[in-house]
Amino acid sequence: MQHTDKNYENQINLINENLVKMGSILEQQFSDALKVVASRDQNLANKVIEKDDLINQLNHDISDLVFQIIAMRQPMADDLRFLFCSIKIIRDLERIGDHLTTVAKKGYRVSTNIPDQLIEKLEVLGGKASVMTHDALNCLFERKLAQADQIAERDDIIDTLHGNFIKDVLSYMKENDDFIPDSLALIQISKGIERIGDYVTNIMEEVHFLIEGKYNNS
Amino acid sequence: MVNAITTENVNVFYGDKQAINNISLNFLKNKVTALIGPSGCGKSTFLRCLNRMNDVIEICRVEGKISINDQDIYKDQIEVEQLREKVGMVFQKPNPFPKSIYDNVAYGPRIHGFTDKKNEMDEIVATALKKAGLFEEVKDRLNDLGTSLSGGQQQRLCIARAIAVKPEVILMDEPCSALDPIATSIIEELITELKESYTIIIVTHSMQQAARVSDKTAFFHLGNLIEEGDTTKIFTKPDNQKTNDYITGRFG
Ligand SMILES: Nc1ncnc2c1ncn2[C@@H]1O[C@H](COP(=O)(O)OP(=O)(O)O)[C@@H](O)[C@H]1O
Ligand SMILES: [Mg+2]
Repeated sequence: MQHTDKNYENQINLINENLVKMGSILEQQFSDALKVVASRDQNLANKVIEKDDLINQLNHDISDLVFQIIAMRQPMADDLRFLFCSIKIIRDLERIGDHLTTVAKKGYRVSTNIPDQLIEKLEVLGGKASVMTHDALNCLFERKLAQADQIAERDDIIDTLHGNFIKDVLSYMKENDDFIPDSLALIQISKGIERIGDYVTNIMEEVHFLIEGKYNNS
Repeated sequence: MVNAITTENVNVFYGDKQAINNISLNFLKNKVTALIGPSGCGKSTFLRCLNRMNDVIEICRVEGKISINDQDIYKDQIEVEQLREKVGMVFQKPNPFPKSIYDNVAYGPRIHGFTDKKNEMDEIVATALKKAGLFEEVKDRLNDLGTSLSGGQQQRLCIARAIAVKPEVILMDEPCSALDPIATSIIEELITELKESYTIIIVTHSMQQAARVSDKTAFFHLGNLIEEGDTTKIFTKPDNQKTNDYITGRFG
C-alpha cells in the first residue's frame, strides 16, 4: 500500500532507487574487478577505480535523504526499519566498493608469470563473494529472506579459502623471491575479498532486521 | 502484571448502527495504554464505556462485560457516581467549571464527602494540584477563576480535578489536541509521572504522542480491535499489516 502523502511515498522510493543503483554499480564493479585479476587489464582497472566516486556519492545522497525523512516525517514501523537498515548498509556497500578498488588496483599489476593455479583460486574466492553479495542485495530489494540462507556459513567458507590461499602464496613466495611484491599483491587482493564477505554478512543481518524486526540471533 | 480494567466481548450500538465490534481488551495497572486509529473508529466510544459515560447518550447500548477489580461495572450493584470516582476522565477541550481554581479541585471531594474540615480540604486541593504539576503556578491565586488560566494550565486543572477524588484509572480523550507543543510536553511528562499512582488510558490521534507516552498501544479500525501490544513493538514491527499501514501513513 502506498503512503497517502505522495511526497513521502516518492522520498522513500527515491532511497530505494538509489540503493538499487548503488547495488547494481557494485555488482558491475565486482565482476570487472575479478576480470582485472584474470586479465591484468589496466583500462578496466581504471574504470573500476573511477567508478568508486559514484558509489561514494550515492552513499552521501542516500544518507542525506534518510536524514531529511527522519527529521521531517517521524517514520514508523516498516518505513523506520527500512531507513535504519539503509543508513547502516550504505556504509557497508561503500566499504565493499573500496575493497573492490583495491582488488582492481593490485590486480592489474600482478605479473603474468604468477602461476595460473593461484589466480584461479582467487577467481573462485571472488566468485563466491560476488554471488553472496548478489544474494544479499536481492534479499534487500525483494524483502525476502529466502536467499539469505547460510550467508554466515558462506562467509566461513570464504574465510577458509582465504586462509588456504595465504598459505599457498607464502610457500610460493619462499621458492620465488623475485615475485615477493606480486605475492604481496595477491595476499592483499585475497584479504580484500575476505573483508567483503564480512561486510555482506553485516548487510544480511540488517536485512534480517528490516524484514523480521529483530536480529537473527536475538 | 495486574489488570486494572478487563473488557470482554464488548459491543456498542448507536441505535442500530454498531460502533464497537466484540472487543476484548485489558488494561494493565499503573501503565499507560494508548488507543489509536482513524477518526470514527470507535476510540472515544470504547473509552466512554469504561466509566459508563455512554449512559447519558439515549440511543447508545453497551453489551459485554467490563470489570474493574473483578467488579462488573454494568451489572454489579455499583453506583455510577462511585464508578466515576474510581475512573476519572479528562476531555479533549479543557472544561474547568466556571468556579475558582480551588473550587474546581475541591468539587469532587466535597460531593463525595471526603471531609468538611477546611484545613483538610486545603490539603487535598494542594496535593491534587501538586500531582498535576500546577501548584507552583497557581498557589497564590487559588481564588481566581479556573477559566482564567492558559489552555495547558486549564487541562492540568482538569487533571487535578480528576485526581482529587483519588481515582484508580484516568481516561483521557485527546487531552492535548487543543494545546500548543510546550503545553503538550508538560502534559505528556505529567502522564508519565501519574502512572506511578494511576492507570491511564489515553485516546490520541497523534501517533507520535502514543509512541512517546504509552507502554501499551491498541489499534482500532472500523470498530474492531486490530492489534494491541507493547508500544515499542507496535511502532517498530507490528504483526498486522493494517496496523503497519496506518501508523506509517498509508491510510486513515
Ligand atoms: N452520540 C452518537 N450518536 C450516534 N453515533 C455516534 C455517536 N458518537 C459516536 N458515534 C458514531 O460511532 C462511531 C465511532 O465514533 P467515535 O467513538 O467518536 O470514534 P473516534 O473517537 O475513534 O473518532 C462513528 O461512526 C460515530 O459517528
Ligand atoms: Mg474521539
